[in-house]
Amino acid sequence: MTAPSTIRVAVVEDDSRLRRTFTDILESADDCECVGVFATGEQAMSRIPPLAPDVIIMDVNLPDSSGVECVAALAPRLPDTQILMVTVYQDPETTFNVLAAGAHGYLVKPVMKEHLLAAIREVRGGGVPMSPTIARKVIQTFRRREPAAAAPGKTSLSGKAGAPHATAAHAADEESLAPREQQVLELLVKGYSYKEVSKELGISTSTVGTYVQRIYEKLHVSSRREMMARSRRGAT
Amino acid sequence: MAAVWGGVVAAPAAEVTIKEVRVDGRPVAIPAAESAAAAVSAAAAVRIPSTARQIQVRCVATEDDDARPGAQTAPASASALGPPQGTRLRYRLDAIDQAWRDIPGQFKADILFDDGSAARIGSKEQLIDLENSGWKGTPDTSTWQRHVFKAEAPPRARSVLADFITAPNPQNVGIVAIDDVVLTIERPGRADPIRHELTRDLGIAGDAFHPLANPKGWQRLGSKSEISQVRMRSQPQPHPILVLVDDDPDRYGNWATQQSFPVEPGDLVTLEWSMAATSGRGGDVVANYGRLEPGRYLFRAELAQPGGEPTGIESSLAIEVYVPVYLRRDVWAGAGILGVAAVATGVRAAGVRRMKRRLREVEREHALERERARIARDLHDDVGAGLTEIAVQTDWLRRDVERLAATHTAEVQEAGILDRAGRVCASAVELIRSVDAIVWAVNPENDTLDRFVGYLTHSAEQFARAAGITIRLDIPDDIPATPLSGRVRHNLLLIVREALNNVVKHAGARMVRVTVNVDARQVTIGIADDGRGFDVAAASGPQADGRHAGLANMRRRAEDIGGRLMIDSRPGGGTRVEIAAPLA
Repeated sequence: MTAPSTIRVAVVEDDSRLRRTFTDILESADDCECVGVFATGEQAMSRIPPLAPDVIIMDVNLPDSSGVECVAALAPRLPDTQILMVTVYQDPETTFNVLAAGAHGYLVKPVMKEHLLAAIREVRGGGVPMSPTIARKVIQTFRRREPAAAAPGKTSLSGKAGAPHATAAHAADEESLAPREQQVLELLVKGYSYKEVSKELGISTSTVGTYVQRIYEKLHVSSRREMMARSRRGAT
Repeated sequence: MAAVWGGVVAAPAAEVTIKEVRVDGRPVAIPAAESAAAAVSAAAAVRIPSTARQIQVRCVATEDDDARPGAQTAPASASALGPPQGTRLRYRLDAIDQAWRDIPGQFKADILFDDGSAARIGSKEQLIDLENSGWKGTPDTSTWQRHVFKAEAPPRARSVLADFITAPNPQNVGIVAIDDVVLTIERPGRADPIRHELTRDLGIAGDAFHPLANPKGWQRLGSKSEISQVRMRSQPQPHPILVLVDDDPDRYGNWATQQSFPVEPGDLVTLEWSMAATSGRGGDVVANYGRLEPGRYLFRAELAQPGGEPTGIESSLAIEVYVPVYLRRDVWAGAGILGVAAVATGVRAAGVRRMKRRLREVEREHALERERARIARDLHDDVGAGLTEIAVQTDWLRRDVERLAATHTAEVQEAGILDRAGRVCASAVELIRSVDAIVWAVNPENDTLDRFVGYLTHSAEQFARAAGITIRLDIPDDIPATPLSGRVRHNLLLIVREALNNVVKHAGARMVRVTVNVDARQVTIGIADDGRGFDVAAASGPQADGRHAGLANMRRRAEDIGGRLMIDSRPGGGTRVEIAAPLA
């Protein structure tokens, strides 16, 4: 194995004490490098993209804009960056909104040194944990969006009345869950750990992680589309 | 129940549910009762401040799958055509809307060019908004309109087709009747344009008539062939016409010409037709209202037939728009009167007392909500951040001591520093969790059953994970947003916590199963483990020791919210705790 490359981390946190704590923790780790520290969402949105960090650690509650908005603005511009949200709230609503907006994981305060570093390495390695409550909300979200995506041809009809199915199938691929992903989600909803899911479905734990990551990606894509649709509707 | 045009009577087994109310983007709790009778009673109104800028009500039509006529069967047999479904969802806010409001969709006509080998090489479409499009119940009573659009045959074009499609957007339902379809092909330099009258002879007469009969020259495309139908129009003389009866928000219908007509590149193709239509939306509708005057309103949503005939299936919700206390003139005036009254002693003392009392009540009611939100914020910002600091710092301290211990083992151990630092850190973390629970509990946004269950399962799962116990959750998919008072939430949460605590501390369990069941009257939460169990009678008896005080506590809390607690356990056989709480 080659020496692991350094993980480049940016921090967005309005509390100065926590800001210092985070940078202290990052600096104490050999495999992490802190490339920028920001106190407001505005700073983060304008100054993080050129840095292209590997991981962003972001507080959910920022004074000027919500962390959720900040994630929604940054995630599409930084497709290779993983975002970890830090929250005081255990509240599943907030957590889900954050994940749907484009985050890949979250940490509940207080963030201990070991937890933070573990989460950074985990999210970088693709092992993004998904709790049963979140899995349940993901299923509900896709089920709610399903009718529109699955209506054969309705959305993709324009001008091609003869062959509407190819485009419909394409849209469904991007936005709905594959049967295997659905199975994984259903087990997660019941409280299965990745290890238990892997045993139940006869696949490796890392494959479970891959499925979960793909589910997150689909969630991000479809949430963004929904957000855009909503803002467009709001504008007219 | 109305007889529907075309002679079929609909009996759709469906209902309409008012799913969500958002005020300025934030969801508010909906009272449980949705029947018209309950909604007009004073108890079940959604309260909205008059300062709200946007009020959105989301209604959803739910269908009974068994009642749907063979959704995708071939249209060959006469029995395949069931009554149209009552899937058109519309709404009104009594006192604001004069009539039912629909969200009309669009209709599309296409001119399609092929290269002679059935490969599509070009098309032109005409989108028509279906608002007020003339349909009035039957073809004969409707107002028909003529539509025309033209397209030029592109290079390589050899033939042309036309088609008519419902709802290019998902979720629209309605009726589109089409008659007198004419396709004209003009070639520059050629004297006479060629006219194809595509609906002059549909080859259906007398006995052969049936909505699903096959008209000559036309074919059913689309995702549901029964949408494409044939009906009779009696003017100027009885003749069949093409109709699209779209009763399915997930599918669309299409009437397309069977034949294609020869063209050459550069030909000008004109498609003309008459139509009468109506359209609304099915499945899921969001009603939008702006600022409302203070007062009481009734929001209603109903299911209608595709053609707009009511089905009698309706839901309603009372909305009360109130003036927030800080805007209330009577309150300010009252405060003024109080000031004057305080000077003019003895004058109308009783009236002033009444006014004072009322002032206090109103003030209390509204201040409480603001106060709750403020406390939650303060707790989070001050106490939460401070505790976080303590936890993180002691965590660091512990690590420093650990390093020190490598060289000064004896002294460090003697002093027990490591231990104490660990305990401080753990307490801080525990306190932060408590603050989190309080912040959640006081937030008025969480006063609903679905939020509560979400939070409950979330904390149960974290608790089990931290304790290294396998957890299995069995939670219904769709939990209603029934209002749940803070008192009920708080007590239920503490009962479940206590039960989980027992599982971890006393049961020696490997697995815990948490189940939630909801019906109209109550929510039932079960916590079952595979641990060592205990003798329930002995534990609840007068000699019960302190260890079982928790059980008594759970019982008291259950009684406090009018609920019922059941504990089922025996030594060696695991424990099951079930709490049922009424939803009032």
